[in-house]
Parts: sequence; C-alpha cells; structure tokens
Amino acid sequence: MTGSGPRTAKKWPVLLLAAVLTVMPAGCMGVKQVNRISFVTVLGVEPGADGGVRVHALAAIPAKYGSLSPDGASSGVSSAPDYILSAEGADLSDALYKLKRKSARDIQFGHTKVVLFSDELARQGLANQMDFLMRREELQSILWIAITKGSPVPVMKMRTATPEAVGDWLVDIFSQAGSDTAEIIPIMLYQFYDYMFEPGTTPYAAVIEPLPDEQTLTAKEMAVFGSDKLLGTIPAEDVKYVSLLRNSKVLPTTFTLPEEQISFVLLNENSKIAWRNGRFKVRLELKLDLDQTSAGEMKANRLADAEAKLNEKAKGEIEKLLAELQRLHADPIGLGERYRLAHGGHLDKDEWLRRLFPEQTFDVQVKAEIQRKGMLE
Amino acid sequence: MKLPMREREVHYPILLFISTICLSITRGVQNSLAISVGRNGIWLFAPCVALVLFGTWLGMRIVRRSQAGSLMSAGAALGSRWWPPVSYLLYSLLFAGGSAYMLLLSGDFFSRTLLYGDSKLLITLGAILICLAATFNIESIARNAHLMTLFILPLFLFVSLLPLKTAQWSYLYPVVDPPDWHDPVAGTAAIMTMFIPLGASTLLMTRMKDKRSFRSLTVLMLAVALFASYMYAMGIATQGLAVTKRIAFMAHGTYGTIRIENFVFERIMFLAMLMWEYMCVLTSAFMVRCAVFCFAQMLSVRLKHYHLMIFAAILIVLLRQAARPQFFLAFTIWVGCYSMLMLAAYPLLLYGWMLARGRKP
Repeated sequence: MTGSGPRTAKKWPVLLLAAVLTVMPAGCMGVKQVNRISFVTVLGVEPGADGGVRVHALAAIPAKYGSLSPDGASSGVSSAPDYILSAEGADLSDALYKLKRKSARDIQFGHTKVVLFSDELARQGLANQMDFLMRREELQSILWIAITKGSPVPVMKMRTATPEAVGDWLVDIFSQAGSDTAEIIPIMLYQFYDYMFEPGTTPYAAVIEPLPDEQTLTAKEMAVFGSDKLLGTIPAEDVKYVSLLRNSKVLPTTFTLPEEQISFVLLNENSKIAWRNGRFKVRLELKLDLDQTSAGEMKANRLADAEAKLNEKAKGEIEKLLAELQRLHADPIGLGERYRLAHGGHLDKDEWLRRLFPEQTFDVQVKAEIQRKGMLE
Repeated sequence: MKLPMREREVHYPILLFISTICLSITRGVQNSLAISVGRNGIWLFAPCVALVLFGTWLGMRIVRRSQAGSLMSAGAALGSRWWPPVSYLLYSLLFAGGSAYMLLLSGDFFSRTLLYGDSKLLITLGAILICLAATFNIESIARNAHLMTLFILPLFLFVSLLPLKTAQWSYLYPVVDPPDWHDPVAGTAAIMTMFIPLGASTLLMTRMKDKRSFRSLTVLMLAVALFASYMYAMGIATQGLAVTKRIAFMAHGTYGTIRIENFVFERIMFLAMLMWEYMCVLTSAFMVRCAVFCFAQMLSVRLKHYHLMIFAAILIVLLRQAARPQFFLAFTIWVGCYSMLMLAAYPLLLYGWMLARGRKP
C-alpha cells in the first residue's frame, strides 16, 4: 500500500505547494494587525423601537489596560479606558452588524466577558438573544450574564474607583478572583442557556446597578427567571441561601443575630435536598466562626443559645425564600431536578413551574455549629 | 553513539487509534447520537465496539486462512475472480465516504469558528491540502500518528478531562431511557461512522504477521469507545441533554465550558480544537490514501500521485454541491449504515460463504 514509495527527492514540488497554500490562501494573508481591531469587553442590550433591540458595545482601548499595554495601565490619566458604540437593529445580529458603520476598526467580540440585559428586555424574554449568543461561535460560552435596572448604559459608562475599567470590575466580581461573596452567584452564558431548557432548574442573574456616587456599582439583588422571562428579584441576603442550597463553592458570608449584636462567619457548609413521602426535606449544616470583632462580652454558655437562635433564624429565612420562589414560579435552586430524579427522570418544565412547584411543601432543618469560639472568657 | 534514525516497524493500530479518536468527537457522531437516542448513547458505544471488533477478528481470521493480503483480496481464494475488484470498490467507497465526511465537517466547522467565511472555499482548500498530505506513503502517515501519540494526544486527553470540573452528574440520569430511544438505527450508524478507519485493518495489520497487533487494536479500540462515551456523557453533564440536541457541535461546546482563571491557555477550547484539527488532517489523509489505493487495486494499477489529484478534484466538485445545512446529518447516517455493513456484515457474509463452501476459516 506504499504506492510510489519513499522517494523524498521527488516530494519537493508537493512540499512547496503545501507550504505556499499554508502561508497564502489558507493562512497568513489578509491578517489584521491588533491596532486595527476594537476588542469588545462588555455588551449591553435593551429594547429598541418597533420591537427590535438596541446594543451597546464597550470597546477597550488597549493602552489603558495593564494586561495589554507594554507600559502598564494608565493610572492617573483622565480619559476613560474604553468607549461605547451603540446601534439599533431588528435583532441582535442586525444591531451588531450596524455597529460596524460607527467604527473605523474591525470589531472583535471574542473577548467579550459580560453581557448585560436591561430588566425590561429580560421581562419580554431572552430566548432569541440567548440563542444568537450561543450560536455565534465568535462569542465564548463562558461569558457572564447580568441584568441592569433600566438601560445598561449607565453601568457601562461608570468609571469605578478600582479597577478603572467597568469591564474589569465585572470580571473581578463574577470570576470571584477579586471580591468573593456568596451573595453573588455568577452565571455563564452556557449555564443560562442550559437552565432555560432543563426541566429541573431555571436561570438567574445578578442585578447590577450604579450608586449615586458615580464610582460604585453594586449587586443588591438577583433576578430569577421562568424559562427565559424575568419574573422577579430576590434580595442579596437571600441569595446566600440559594448559593448554599445549590451546594455551590463555599464563599464568605455572615450570619447575624441583630438583638445579640453577634455575627458569625461561614467556614463550611453542607446541604441536602431530597423529595421523600410527598414533600421536600431540606437540610442545611453550617460550620461557623464567631466573628472576633463582635465577640464582645459573649460567654461560653451563651453559645448553645446562639446556635439555637441561628437555626431558627436561618430556617425562617429559607422558608420565606422558598415561599417567594413558589410565588414567582422560579426555581434557581434546582428543586425540580431533585423532583425529577425522585420520579424516574422525567419532568415537564412548564408543568413543574406552573402546577407542581407551587404545591410543594418543605421540611426545613438547619443545624448551625459554632466551631471556633474566638476569645471567650 | 549513533541514534536509531529509522524505525524498523510501524505499529498500525496506533494509526487506527488516532483516526478513530479524532472521528469519535465529531459532530456527526455525537450530535446525531444525542438526537436519535439521547442518554442511551452513553452505553451504546459498548455493543458497537464489540460488533466492530468481532467483524475485524473475523476478517483477520479469513485473511490468515485464505493466505490473502487483505480481506478485499481474500475472495479470490474462494474461487471468484470478480470478488476482489468488487470488494476493493466497496471499501474504496467506504473510505471515500469517510474522507468526504471529514472534509465536510472541517470545512463547516472552521467556516463558523476560527476562519469565519465561506464553507465551500474552506472545503476546497481542505481537500487540496489533505490530498497533498495523502501523497506521503502510508508508513509516513502512520509514523506521524506515532508522533501524535507522544506529543498531541496526552495534552488533548488532559484537556478533555477538564470538563469534569463543570459536570452536573444528575443530568446523566436515567442512563437507560426508553422514551429517548427515538431512532436506534441512526444512533448505531452515528457510532459506526467513527470506526470507518478500521476498514483498513486487514490491509495494514497482516504485514506484522502476529497476533500482537489484534490484541493491541482491541485494547486501543476499547479505549477509544470509552473516550467517546466519556465525551458524550460530559457533553450531557455540562450542557444538558436539551441543549446538546440543539447546538451545532457538542464536543466543541463541552470544551467551551472550561474556564481556567489566569492561565496561559485561558481559552482552552481553542487549544483542544487545534490539537483535534492536527488529528483531522492525519485522519483525512489516511482515509483519502486508503480510498485511492483501493480504487487503484480494483483497476489493478499502481497508486500514482495523479490518482490522488483526480480524487481531490472529484471530492471538491461533489462536496461543493453537498455543502448544505441539512445534508450533513443525513450524510452521516448513510455513511454510518454503510460502515456498519462493511465492518460487520461483510466479514460475516464472507465467513458464511467460506463455511458454505466447506472451507472453515
């Protein structure tokens, strides 16, 4: 099967042709230099006129980014590290194409890290937008999704104190490489898309809003969805319970007994959710550390009381959260997945959210254990 | 000390291993499987690999008994002079189908990802490059596979393990799911597509004249089936079954879920796809050479470079007509069914015929 055999000397025309093909038509011709490209870091989407969408693209100026500039970041320089291009179109594809009319440079979306949707658009439903984002191969499926109250432009125009670029701020928050808190649960594009279709869970996204000082962004709420439509929000204090019950990575959070003026820091947790005998059993175990700064006059014999009060408080807050989610017909915790597993593996998403989920009853148990007792008398 | 610059022997099962592992994560295998049998696809790889290995074992047994050079020429020993040319033609069509599948897939994939543009242009360039690569003799292609086993495959397998970080295991339940068993023939055909290179097993391995190659092939094919099943399961566990049925390329989506903060290969998906493309070039070149070789054998002529060029031209003309959105999945089923016939049914038929003629293999 060797055919003509190893006649290397006669291979040179073939090798030359392969090299020419590799370098010219299939490879290095028509390459654009990096300084002729605009790299979009954040996309903002809101409803446009006539049922279309309005898109805002936050394009980075490479010299203002520490990781891109050879001289480091431009600390102290007054101009913004990025600029916003906006366009309106019948759909996301149309609007993104129209952005090209407003830029002298090629626009690359491969480095987009975050997509912000206005709450108004999210209430109408994000199915079309998500479908487009997933199908456009240039965009990474690991970009983060977040919601803004009103237009995303004020968030995109914000010049945060540090890091200077709002894109970096959002990446630091969502990647949990910078700020890490259980009160923000980041969600990536592929997860959001997955939860839109999987019967046992529904999408969620942090709500980002600017504060009046024009230097600070905050995530005080989490938006919860049915399949693709925004149904309501839950406050950040409750988001930590969603995080704990989802068995997400353990992140810092606190539990406070206001009357006693004592705070506890979470060391570890374990949650179990099972559907048995016609109802959900929700069990949450918390390992806590008495926060040194608030230890105050606490005596050792008060610890048992504190644990009991914490158990009651957390139980009440979880029951309230579950009732709110039932009212909203949203299931970001993934209770439907437990229900599906307990019922042979099949579940209709609509039936679960509309009829079954609101009917469920919960037996919530919380067991807090104060592991470190700090400087006690 | 003089370094050994030339190996004495090429281990062909490695070439078959690299080719099948490359095909195992393609869109035609994984996406067609998700659409036709859902979660059942996770375990369906096991009976399919057993069937293919059984067919290969029968083929090698027939070849050894008839003392022919390959399964294609074994028919001559049974007294029919028409059998070998027909047999070579049938296998040539199998490899041509496999080549066309790979070129359609690569052209379509790269026209949507790294080199956004006209898929027909990329299919044309791909066919030219692959046919140029196929001008290297089969030993060179096999040695290239050896190098890939050393330098490409370990990193590729390592990257393939990373989706374990993002897996949601409950998505795999129930693994045996009768309501999802929509089209078992299409599902089996989809898996059989990845075993097309095994059609060349009797052409290549009888040269080694020992049983070691079949043992090695068995182990490597079981490993490929395990890998394919793992990647299929990871696709469902990371993206959910509903999404895997909707997206264009399941394995690409699975690699896309990997995120490694502050790592040089932060876009690890790109790295995995780059390594996969190296294997695609090798696999396509191997199948093109096999297709043209079988055709030349049918005509009883020696393989020449211009045969490869003619084949490239035919491929380009046909594939440019076939580059349509819905054609690809249908083509996968045809090629898969044909692969099932040639890898399992054909050796069984030949074996039965030999038995009927009283020549027990």
